[in-house]
Amino acid sequence: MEKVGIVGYNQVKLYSDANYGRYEMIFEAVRGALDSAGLKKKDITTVVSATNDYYDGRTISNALTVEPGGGYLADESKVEMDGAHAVLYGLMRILSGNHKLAVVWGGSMASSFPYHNPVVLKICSTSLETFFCLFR
Amino acid sequence: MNEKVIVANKGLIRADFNFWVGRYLDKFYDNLENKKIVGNTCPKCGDVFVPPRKICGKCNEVIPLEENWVDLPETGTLINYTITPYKINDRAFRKVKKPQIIGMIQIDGSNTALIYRLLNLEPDDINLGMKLKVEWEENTKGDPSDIKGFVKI
Repeated sequence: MEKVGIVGYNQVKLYSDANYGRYEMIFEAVRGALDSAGLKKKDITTVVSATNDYYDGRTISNALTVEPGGGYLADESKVEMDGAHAVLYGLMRILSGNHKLAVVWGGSMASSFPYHNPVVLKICSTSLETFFCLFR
Repeated sequence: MNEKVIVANKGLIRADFNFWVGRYLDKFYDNLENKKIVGNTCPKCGDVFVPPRKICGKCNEVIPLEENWVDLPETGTLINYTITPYKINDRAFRKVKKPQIIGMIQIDGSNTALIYRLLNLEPDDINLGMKLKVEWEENTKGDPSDIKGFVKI
């Protein structure tokens, strides 16, 4: 079996600045993860996002996140609820042989989510506003 | 035994809400209020976005808020369209007498398209690539409805 590993990682701070919205956060987190791995946008072949409509208080909570999330003209998908699910999804996509580099990001509003709850995923918590990891 | 009475009401609920559009669209709508269309351009690839965007998805770069703004004309090209017999804003399930045409219009000098109604046009008169012009509302208020639609030049 092909080896798959995390090559980059980034997490952005919790913000309460109205001028700094979720799209900026997603961009900063994904771009930071790419930079930490020394990779470029063109290296991304698939993007998996983890957001939660219920906790975000909006339907289609991944709407308009494709471009900030690095998904422009790349294969893009979303999972609901659990950030770890997104990680496994990204992993499976790499193992399928169809993708080389997967960006996995998750985010939510901490104000509407028990982010201090350790049960909610240490690996890729959707509660930590935006967390990113890259696989290759 | 307790008796419970359940009352069911059927009807429409109006739920007003506010939506913050961000600093980039703020500027766009301010200009719409003055009957002007503006876009912003990616410093790297030069693509012009209408409405303006903060992030160029192609280059994965931030477009600074203070610079890279471009004034654009009121004219554009029809990229695609659809025809619907239904209302497209309030009470969308209601049929309308005359089919409505909704077009994707690329403003001249930009790389993206806006979606608006095509006015005073019959379905048979439409051609892809035809030139169109903005029809402004008389009293603008700085929101998407300031543009009534697009008309044939």
